[in-house]
Amino acid sequence: MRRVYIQAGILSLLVFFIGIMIGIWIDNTRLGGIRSALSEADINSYDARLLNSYLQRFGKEYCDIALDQNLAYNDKIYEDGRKIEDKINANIFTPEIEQEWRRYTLLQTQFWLNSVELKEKCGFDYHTVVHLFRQKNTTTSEDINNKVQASVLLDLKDKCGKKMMLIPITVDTNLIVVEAITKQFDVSEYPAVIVDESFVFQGVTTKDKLNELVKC
Amino acid sequence: MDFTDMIYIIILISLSYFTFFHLILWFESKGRLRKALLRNNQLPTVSILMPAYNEEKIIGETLGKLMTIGYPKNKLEIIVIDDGSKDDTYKIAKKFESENVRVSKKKNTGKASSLNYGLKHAKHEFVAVMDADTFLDKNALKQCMAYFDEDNVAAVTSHILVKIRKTLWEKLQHTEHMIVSLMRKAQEQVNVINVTPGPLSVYRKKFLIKVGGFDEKSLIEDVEIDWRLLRHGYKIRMAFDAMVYSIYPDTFKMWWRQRRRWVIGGLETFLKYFGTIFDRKSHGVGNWIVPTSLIGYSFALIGTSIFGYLVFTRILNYVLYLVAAFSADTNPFTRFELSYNVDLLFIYGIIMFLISLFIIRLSIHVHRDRPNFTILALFLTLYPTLLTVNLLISLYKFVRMERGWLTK
Repeated sequence: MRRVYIQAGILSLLVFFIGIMIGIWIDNTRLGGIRSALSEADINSYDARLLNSYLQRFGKEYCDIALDQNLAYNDKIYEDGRKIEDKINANIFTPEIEQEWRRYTLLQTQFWLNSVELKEKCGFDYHTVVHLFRQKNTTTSEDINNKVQASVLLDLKDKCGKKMMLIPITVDTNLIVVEAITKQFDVSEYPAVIVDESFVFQGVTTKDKLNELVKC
Repeated sequence: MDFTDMIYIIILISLSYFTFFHLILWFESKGRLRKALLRNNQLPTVSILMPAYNEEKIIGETLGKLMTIGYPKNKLEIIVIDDGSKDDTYKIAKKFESENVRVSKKKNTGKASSLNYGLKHAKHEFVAVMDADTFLDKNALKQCMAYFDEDNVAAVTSHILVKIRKTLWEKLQHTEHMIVSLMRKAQEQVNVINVTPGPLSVYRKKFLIKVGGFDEKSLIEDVEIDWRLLRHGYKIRMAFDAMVYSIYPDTFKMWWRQRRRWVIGGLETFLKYFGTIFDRKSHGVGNWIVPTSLIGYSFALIGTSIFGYLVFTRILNYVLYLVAAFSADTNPFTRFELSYNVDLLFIYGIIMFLISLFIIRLSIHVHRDRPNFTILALFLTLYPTLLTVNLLISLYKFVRMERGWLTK
């Protein structure tokens, strides 16, 4: 009867491997989805950068188009970011998904710089609000603060609409440019908010405080 | 994947092992589900022991039915042991007294003690133990006797189903009994049947006496005697074709109470035999029953503790988030959305769910029953949850040595 014990073991392992295979398939599908979403964002970002270069060379007639494009991109940022974050947490078989998150962070940073440049070139008066947060090895309290900060900022974005660009940037992505930002603005506590590249708040920043700076 | 995910995956793999083990054995035993009945002149003599406590409502009907079973009267002795009933059980049973029906009354000392009393007075080579609220199919006893075809078979259990299936609890227990009957037949193949249930089990008297009779301290003497017989190297068989219908709790309260008694009794038996773990000389008890019980109890405890912890921390974190959000003057509900990303645990959960469905489908098919989808849904969700909660509460009571309420 030893055979039965072995057969049961083999079948259990088979089920285990079927689970793993389905898991790998689902993770890869998710990774593919993120990659395709980021490719789209990549193209949009590249498009915006080229538009900036074009403006520098040929004038300001295209400022409104550039702004519209930036706004359309900005509307999707938070939504996409949250979805990607959830997917990263669920994926265990495809560690390369973390690379996609880094790519996403670079796109956000690029978008921020682009928005600043556009503001200067075209004389727009919108506010840029950057939400800096950590993603890994966070405490429960930091997680809660991150969520609350995101909610406060989204409320503000809802209120301001075209008058505000909201940019989320994850800081623990091992990217030199992000490290440079945190050093330059001397940020050590998270979440942090940078308003118009001048004002830095660390910890949860309330709506009232932000309303004083972001007038819309 | 974090530590809790790993624990759950280990639990699920173990569960799948346990399930496949039974499924393989079941399919191997499928061709041996029925045995040819012995002819009347081949049938051995049997003493039926029927302990009864406050059974005035049913004992008359049980005895009446018992008189009609297809077993030669000259080879049958029925001993009703009234365990100090406070109602008319004794008076009603007395009406059935005849040449082969004896009714005795004694002080209330519990079921196991009543069985030992009956054992002492039983005249025949085999003793059948049956509950006072159990109804035997015409040939159930005959079918059980056909399984004593090897000298070292000490006991034969029957195929027990729920007689009345009106309330939700009765229907859920019926589904459970259908599945358990398949498992028990599967366990027979490797001689690890873990209970000789009270509704009807037949024992070879000399082995029963040799191992010391029923344990009067045990809350579940039918489990304890089974483990003791197995430990002594005897065989226990299941007569799949011996259909028996018993009355089971019809309300949640009664069901809950019965399960707590079973769990506490099970834990007592488990601890009593814990020393036999992995002891080859203890046969199926040491090699399978005690180790799998240990795994079962541990997983139930660890799994539910982790689950409870996760649920608690999630609720706590959400409350903290709500407080923090309101303090920051933002409405946390405006952006609330339900989303779920499928992970490995979810996939395993689905696979195990499909295997469970297959087993239920199989048991329904074998019993030619009709599926009731509401009952099946509740059986797969509510029932295991309640069983786990019951197990945890009973464990707590057990640790606190609270046992008195079980016999009150």
